[in-house]
Amino acid sequence: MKLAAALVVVAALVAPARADDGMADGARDTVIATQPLAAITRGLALAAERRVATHWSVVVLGGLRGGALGDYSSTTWEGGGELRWWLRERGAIAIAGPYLAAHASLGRTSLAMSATGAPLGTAWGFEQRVDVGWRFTFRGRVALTPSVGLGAHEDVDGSGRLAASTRPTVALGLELGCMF
Amino acid sequence: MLLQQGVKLPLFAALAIVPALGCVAPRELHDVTYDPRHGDAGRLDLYLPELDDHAHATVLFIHGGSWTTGDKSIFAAAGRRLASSGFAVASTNYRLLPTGVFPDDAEDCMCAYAYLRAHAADYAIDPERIVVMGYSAGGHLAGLVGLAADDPALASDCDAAGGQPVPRPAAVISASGPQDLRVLWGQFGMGSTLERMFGGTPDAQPAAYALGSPITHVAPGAPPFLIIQDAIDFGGMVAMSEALKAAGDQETLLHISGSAHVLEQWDEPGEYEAGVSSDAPEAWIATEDFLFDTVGAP
Repeated sequence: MKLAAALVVVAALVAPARADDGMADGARDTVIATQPLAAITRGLALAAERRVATHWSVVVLGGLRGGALGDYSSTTWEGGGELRWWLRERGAIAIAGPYLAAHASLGRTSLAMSATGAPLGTAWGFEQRVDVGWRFTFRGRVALTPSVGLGAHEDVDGSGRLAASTRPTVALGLELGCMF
Repeated sequence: MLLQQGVKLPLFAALAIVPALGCVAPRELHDVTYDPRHGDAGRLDLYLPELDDHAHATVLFIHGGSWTTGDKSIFAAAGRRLASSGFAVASTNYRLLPTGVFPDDAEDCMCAYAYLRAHAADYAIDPERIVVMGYSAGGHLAGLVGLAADDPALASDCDAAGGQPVPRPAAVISASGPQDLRVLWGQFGMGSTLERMFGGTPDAQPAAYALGSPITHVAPGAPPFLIIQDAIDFGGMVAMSEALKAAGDQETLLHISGSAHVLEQWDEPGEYEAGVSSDAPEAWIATEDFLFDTVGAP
């Protein structure tokens, strides 16, 4: 949560500075993206990214998923953000190539019996990571961005019957987006 | 004196609050020997809740690794979480391939379970409230312990079991664990591993494959099962669910869409994280509900 708060503060501080930072005229500095693997696993993920200063961009992301099947059903809501530092900037596409990022997210999952709808409980997940990624661009507009992240994931039981738990995590992402 | 009281009161308040938050670190006993004949394979780790005067509901973890690799430490984080929540937890090793052929692995798990029952008083365990839980190969072995602990054909000759069957556990959680090894033999290149485990193909060793497949032991009166299934049904998990339901046994199936055995989606749709299906948020909620429903408050 500290990392998430820091992301918001940094984004607020750097956002006004983006207007005149030497970026090429007509450069694409905005990306709307999704995680395509979410679409094939009963989920939806959306991310909006904006260049906010030389080498820096901010991502706001959110998602929804119904991962449980069989005798159960579930709903997962997720929101988060990333602060990305781009190692290089080139031409009209400022936010491409390799980057490092601070990533934070918060998710809430609720589970129920599918036959009766009886709720069984909720779980919260807090995740903080450092990501490394690389954005490939095609035709100047399509962006494909694989990434890998290392961090910590905290599980919190909504009922309080189970203790909170923190574990290390390795995350793999694949973002597909459109640049504007 | 006032200063001393001023210091003590917040300290006592903190000591009272910390257990309420479930933040008490569990006691850990590593490498407890349940069968001295098999070295490290005959050891288990214990994660025990704070000392009190009642016998605790207990979870026995059995690790995965295709019966060839893996270690009891895989469940350390889950063990600490459950122990911090009041459950006693054991995580056991067992003999692995190539030397640990069937039924060595199953008998070791039976022995570890028998050890917990025999030493229940030593560790504040309630022997009638032991839940056996495993992942992947461990999910298969958990199914066997759950359905065949009282089968003389799989009784361990270790000291704790004494060559005798033991009462079945209170419940079973099998996560991503194949339940019909005759089916698994033809899936995902698992044939050669299973042939080493059983000494041949299902056609050549039909009795051994049947003895080693939990689904063949299904009958009315089985302990409650929670089956957590990957995106792909391998090794007859769905068939096991249907067989238990058909027998009138208590069973629920949690199928986690997108789960790829060792790559899972937690809270962020589309992102994959290294892990096991039993650590997915849906699985933790289902596990918590199942534990409290079957063995009650820890």
